Amino acid sequence: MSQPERRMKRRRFVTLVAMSGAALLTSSLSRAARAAARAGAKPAGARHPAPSPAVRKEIANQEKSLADQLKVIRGYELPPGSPMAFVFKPLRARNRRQS
Amino acid sequence: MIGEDVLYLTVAELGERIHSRRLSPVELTESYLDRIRRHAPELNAFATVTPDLALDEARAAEREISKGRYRGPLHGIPYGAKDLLATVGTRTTWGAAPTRDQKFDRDATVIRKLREAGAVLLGKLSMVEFAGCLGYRFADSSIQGAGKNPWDTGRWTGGSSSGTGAAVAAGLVGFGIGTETWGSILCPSAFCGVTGLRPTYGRVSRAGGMVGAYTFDKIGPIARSAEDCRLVLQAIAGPDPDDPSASDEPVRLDRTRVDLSRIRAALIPLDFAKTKGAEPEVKTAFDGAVAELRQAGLRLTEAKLPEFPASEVAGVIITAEALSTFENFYTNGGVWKLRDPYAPYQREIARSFHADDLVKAWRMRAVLQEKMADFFGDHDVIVTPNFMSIAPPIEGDLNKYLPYPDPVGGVGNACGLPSIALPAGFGKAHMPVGFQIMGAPWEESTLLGLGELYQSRTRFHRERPSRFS
Repeated sequence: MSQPERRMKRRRFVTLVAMSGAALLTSSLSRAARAAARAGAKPAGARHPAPSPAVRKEIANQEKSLADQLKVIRGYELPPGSPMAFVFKPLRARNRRQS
Repeated sequence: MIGEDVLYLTVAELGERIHSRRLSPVELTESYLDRIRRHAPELNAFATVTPDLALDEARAAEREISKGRYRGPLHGIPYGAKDLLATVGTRTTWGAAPTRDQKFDRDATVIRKLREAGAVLLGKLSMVEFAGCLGYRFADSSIQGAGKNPWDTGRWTGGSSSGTGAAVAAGLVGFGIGTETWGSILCPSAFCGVTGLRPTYGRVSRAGGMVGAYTFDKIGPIARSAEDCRLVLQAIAGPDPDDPSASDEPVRLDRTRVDLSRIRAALIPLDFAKTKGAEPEVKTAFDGAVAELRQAGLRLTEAKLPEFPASEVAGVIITAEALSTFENFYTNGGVWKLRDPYAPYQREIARSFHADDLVKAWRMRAVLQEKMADFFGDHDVIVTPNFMSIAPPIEGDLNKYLPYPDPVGGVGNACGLPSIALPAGFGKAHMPVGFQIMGAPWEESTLLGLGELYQSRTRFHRERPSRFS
């Protein structure tokens, strides 16, 4: 395992690893907090209530996980103008339309 | 009705019987449908069953074959597709409440290609909501309910291709189609004891499939053998004008015996002893697989992946892409209907994310690709464990049961590398465990060849959960 990976906290991984996830989810959560979060679900367009303290705590955990991840990205040195992992391609004009 | 012994045959074996007219596609389809009726609900395996469509397709296949018009090894073979692939006339739920009644007027390219190959669609397979791309912490984060493992219905199938793993393992389908952004083919394959192939990014068109993360999503088979994965990949791979990311890289999957003398295999061991949540029984099974490959003549040399924060790069890019693709559900409130309690907060959590972070991650991804291109100059394939523990219980926080990192998955998915998941035996509670062989881009045929070789010497892929046998 690489040094940066060793530095990663376990919680940051699990969703990504097991669930193809993107959300960088984190530590343990009580059933009560989960139920409270679900109870806060509202139909589209409705205002949703402020998250409970337990949910807020979990959100803070996740924010910290993402911050840790971004710290690694921001701390990695690259030479100016190093290539990107994809190539932008201009799109040709459509065939001339008959007028 | 046809019995389990036939329903659990591989695609290759079913195809041979169908081709020689010893097996009727209609009878086969009726038998799978009967089995789905009896067993799918207890596994939450199907989002939608399509019996009328399936029987129509099976009758058409039977008619053609009886007239001598045999299309190939998938002709008349019943299958299921993850419910993020569009199918005309059937809802495509993406496993999520906001899209539970969604319908499309055009089939996904993969569905079309399988129909052209003569395969019979039995239905749409359950999945984690939005393929887990907004995160999930609990097995029941799906409108279809928790994916229940046929080996022990108190345990999870893995995700996000939950129904695909369950349906193949329980003998409800001849094969299944899954997708992977990070782990979603390999995970259910490991936990359900089946064989899954994550193709190279771009190998299979994603047109008509839900976008989770634009530059990470892959579509691939989950089946009962490596040979079956080859047959299915042969049918679905290739360029597609409807998907600019689908590559025109030649698809050379014709079965040829792998020349072991030419393959340099890197053994990437994981530290089970020092990894929280890793189970020694899984290591024992992995060691057994390595020994088997060595006995077969594969030269395995211990190696290390390049030092690089691949998981961070992958995580940041997937986060950005997923938040963008599901943006509408944040603006219209749909995200509050998701079962995962934290999905609605992901945009808020990502506030600290800057535009230049994404570009930086993209630039780092290019560096990682270069490093892996160098790595594959010295090694042809990577042999490494898949998941380090057995399937976790359905109840409870998945993070508690799966607390370990996935450095190989980070590299593999960031670089779009193909990997095959192979059953390697059993761990605690007689639950399946597996390992993986990962390769350079477009080298699926080598992985499949090694998988076929391994499975010619082992019987793990033939094991069936007793409750469904």
